Amino acid sequence: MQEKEIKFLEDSFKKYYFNHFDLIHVTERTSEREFGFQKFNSGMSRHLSIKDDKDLHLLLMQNIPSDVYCSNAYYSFPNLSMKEKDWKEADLIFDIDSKDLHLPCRNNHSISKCNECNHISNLCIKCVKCNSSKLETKSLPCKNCIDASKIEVKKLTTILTEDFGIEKNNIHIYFSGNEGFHVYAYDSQFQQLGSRERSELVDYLMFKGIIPETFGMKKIKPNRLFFPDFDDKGWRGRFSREIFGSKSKRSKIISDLISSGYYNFQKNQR
Amino acid sequence: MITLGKDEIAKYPFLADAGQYLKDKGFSLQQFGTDPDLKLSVDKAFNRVLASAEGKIYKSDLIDGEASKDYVLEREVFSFLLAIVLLKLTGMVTLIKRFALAEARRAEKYLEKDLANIADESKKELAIRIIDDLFSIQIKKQNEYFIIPVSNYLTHAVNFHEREWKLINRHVENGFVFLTSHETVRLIRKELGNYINSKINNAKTPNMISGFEEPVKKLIILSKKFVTHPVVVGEYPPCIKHAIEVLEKGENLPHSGRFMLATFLLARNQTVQQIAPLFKNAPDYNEKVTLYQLNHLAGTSGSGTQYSCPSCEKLKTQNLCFAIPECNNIFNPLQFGKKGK
Repeated sequence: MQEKEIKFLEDSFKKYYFNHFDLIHVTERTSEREFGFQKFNSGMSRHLSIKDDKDLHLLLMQNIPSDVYCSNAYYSFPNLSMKEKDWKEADLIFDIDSKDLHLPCRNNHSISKCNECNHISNLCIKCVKCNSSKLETKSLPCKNCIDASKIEVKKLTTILTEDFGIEKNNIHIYFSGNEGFHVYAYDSQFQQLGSRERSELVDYLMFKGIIPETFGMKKIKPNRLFFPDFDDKGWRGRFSREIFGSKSKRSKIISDLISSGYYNFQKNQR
Repeated sequence: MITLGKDEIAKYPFLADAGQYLKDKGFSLQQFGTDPDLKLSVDKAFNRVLASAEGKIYKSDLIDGEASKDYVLEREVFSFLLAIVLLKLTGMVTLIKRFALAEARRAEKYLEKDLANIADESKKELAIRIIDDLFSIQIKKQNEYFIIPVSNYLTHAVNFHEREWKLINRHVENGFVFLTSHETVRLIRKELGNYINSKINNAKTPNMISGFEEPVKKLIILSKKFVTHPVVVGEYPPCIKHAIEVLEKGENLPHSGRFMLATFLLARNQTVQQIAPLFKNAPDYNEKVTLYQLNHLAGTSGSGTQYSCPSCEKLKTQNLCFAIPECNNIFNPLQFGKKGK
């Protein structure tokens, strides 16, 4: 970016920040979190600690950042180096992005930008102008995408409350600013879990790593009688309600599951 | 500290204060080496270690966790304590590990029985308290199940690699995991082993006691059998091959994939300069940034922490795993192609 453009952006952002202090607040337990920010066209400043709203507003005015970051982790000393911070716990945060849903409408509101020659074209694998494969995809949000993300948010919060026992009022949902939502779960039994345990939670949410038997699919003598009951708790009931509940394709799905469910599930889960 | 009854000490001898127990009974270690009656206990101890080294669980004299006579009970505890003395005198880590695991499995049987004891509520309570005191798992009974908080479950279950322990294959409801008594106890096997292991490691090594030389010598010879020599084969695992292919094609490899590739190659002793060119084809390649990041992972810049290659489990979650039959039984890509001889 040119200096002139940067100056323009900084002036606009400064004005915006200044006029919207009433909307810009720090999160809970601020003094235990690490903050960072990025200025237009420059690197990242991090390992900052902030006490309250006023501190944050001062940072915005003094530095006019393009982005501000706040850790989901709580530390004893958020302003020291990673090694010395002393990690205490971290909120669970989920990022639901409609990009990952691969909806058919995506082609209509995305373009490819070539990093070699800057040529812009419809979505493609290679640049139509210079044949380079170094392409970046840029897209805009659309209503269809946002609606689909909302459905995913609902699915997620159902599992968080029903299966994981997280209180509804401890789940906060925010528009991510791009094409989806951020789902925050505060103050749960999971605060102190490390990354391996958190990966397990993700696999649970994503229905990953299942054993076919858990859901009633057997290698020998498969039968619909083995499928879980509708009112079973957790994924078992959810699984049965889904396969027996979809009217149009019901019989096909069930007979597919009975005949080849075991092997298909096993194959897909590897 | 939990107060234990006589038969409980025999079932869970690792909970007892060893030195104190012998003192209370009025014996010294030296007596066990010389007194022909007491020497029986040393033989029992030797057999207890021997069984564990062979992957078996020592056959106890207790019947259903109880002994008909007090001396049977005592001998049971002595043989455990003396086994530790023998292990300390041999100083062989592999033997200690095997012993700790076997003893954990032995205790596991009693814990399971006590947990499921409907007739005697106090036995169940004791088992629940042992598990809470030692491993901070809060167990509650709900109908025929034992329920524990999901977070508690995960901290232990992540150490298992069998898929049946994955949370998705468990009955999960309202923040709790539902387990049978068998599964509850199985969940802590490894930690129980670690607990016994660390108790042995922290115990003081006595000077050689007359009468103990022979069994100690035999155990040292035995432990030599368990030393393995890993062989390194140069082949890359499929996840790493896939990552390299993606980069060679000039396609985008996600951050997690780059992290895996770089940490893997660094662990295989490649230098930052050797690795950097691999990323040249990435759509967003920037030489300065790549070198900076690689140096950071190698621990030569930044905090100095050397990052390690993610586990297979983690890579599965990140969709970076492309397992082939040769990947069976490995937990980290770095183990690929390494076989015990």
